[in-house]
Amino acid sequence: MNTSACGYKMKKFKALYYIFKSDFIKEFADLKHYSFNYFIGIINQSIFCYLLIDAFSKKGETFVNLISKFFVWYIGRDLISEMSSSINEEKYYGTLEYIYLNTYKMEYYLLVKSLNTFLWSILFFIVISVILFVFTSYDSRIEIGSIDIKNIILIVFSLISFLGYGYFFAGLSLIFRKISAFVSIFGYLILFAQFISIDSKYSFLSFLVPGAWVKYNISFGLIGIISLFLLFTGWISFSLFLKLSTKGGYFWRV
Amino acid sequence: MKIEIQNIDISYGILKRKKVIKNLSFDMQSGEIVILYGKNGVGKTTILRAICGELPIEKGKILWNGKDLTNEMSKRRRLSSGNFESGKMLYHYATLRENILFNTNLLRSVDLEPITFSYNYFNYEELLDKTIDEMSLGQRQKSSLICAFRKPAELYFFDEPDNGLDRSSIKEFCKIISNKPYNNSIVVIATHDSFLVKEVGSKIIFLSGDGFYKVVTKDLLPKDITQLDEYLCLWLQNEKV
Repeated sequence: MNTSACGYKMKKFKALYYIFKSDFIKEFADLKHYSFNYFIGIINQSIFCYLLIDAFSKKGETFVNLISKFFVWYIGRDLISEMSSSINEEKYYGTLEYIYLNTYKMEYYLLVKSLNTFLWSILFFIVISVILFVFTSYDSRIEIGSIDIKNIILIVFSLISFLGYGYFFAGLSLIFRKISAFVSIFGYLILFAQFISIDSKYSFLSFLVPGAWVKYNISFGLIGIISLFLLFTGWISFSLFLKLSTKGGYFWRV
Repeated sequence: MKIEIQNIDISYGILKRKKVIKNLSFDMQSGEIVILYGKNGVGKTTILRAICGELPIEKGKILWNGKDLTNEMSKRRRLSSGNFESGKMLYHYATLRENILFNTNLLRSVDLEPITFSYNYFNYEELLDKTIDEMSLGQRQKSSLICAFRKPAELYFFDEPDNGLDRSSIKEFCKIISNKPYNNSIVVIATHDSFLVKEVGSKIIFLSGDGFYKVVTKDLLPKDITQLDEYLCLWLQNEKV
């Protein structure tokens, strides 16, 4: 590799680091300002998680299995909704134009923002888990040996797919105003697909819903291809929607 | 440093395109403060958005130092800095300090001179740790103007910077852009207030809204600025005839 190519890559990496840093500053300010809302959100999610685990553990599913399903849903829902809701929020504050006026691609900004969202969601998930362990009688001992590497790969592929969906809905949010409501329905659809078996004639839909893969014995190779396809489609559709929104003048309309 | 706008057309819409600006041409030189002057809805902000690379142009050329940057929107965005919508472009739940931090970090601004310069001029020490929500309209507008200087740029643009500001604050703003730390840069302001024309404008693009416009240099303007509208309308009418 020649030095200029290396320098360019370093510059790009630095640029992503700066986006991460600035987004962290913003998220922290948001957390500080709306700390009560965050607190209530965590309590809500803890109760919801408890009810979910309680209902399905009676059907014979293990605690580790259920909490990992909840984890995938919790993180995935955040990844999908955060992208489109942040587009709406930035539009409302008028700051989307600031971000667009910077030197980076909007796609990179959203990618780094997703990483930030992912880290915050992990933190909140840990808090929810601690609340569950402290206030319920669930066996909190998770044996390392019981964690299947296949499940971890599956979770990674699911997260990649969620990113793709996030890009797609974020792109739609640039043009349409009421996308957030639809995104929250989609979030619950993933939850539904994870916990409840759907009729076999609709099982083809499971290819598109990351949480449902595990139930229908889809091969790893195919899952990898599907998740990369979803990410690629999401990325391309976002770029297209971005072009359309600037051309149509929707970009700065609240 | 020179920016040339050559016969540009700007339209909005995806399926149904609406032409907002037709065949507009003018140029801007280093150190100039160009005012886009006209009533509401004539397309002042649209022109700003097109020049700084937010909105694609349909026809015509934008030359930046002689180089054709018509299709290089991201490059134009990189060379520009400013603000749209008065008092907006700020996170209301965050303090001014956090807003400045967000802006400068996002842009990797190693050079904080422009933002420090504007901030010192407005004397905003006491407001740094106040959230934007707690500020008055004028204070928000000043904060927005401070953040507009977030990076050294070749083109600074301001959309209605006088909105919500009292006369003394507008004068402070005029001082900032007249003594801007980067003398090589160009400033473009969209406004419908003749005060800014009188105070700082070195070139005025008067937009009448029906597709006609007139480029006027300051030395050709009447001394009594209160009659500016009538004067420019009359001038334009003669030209149409």
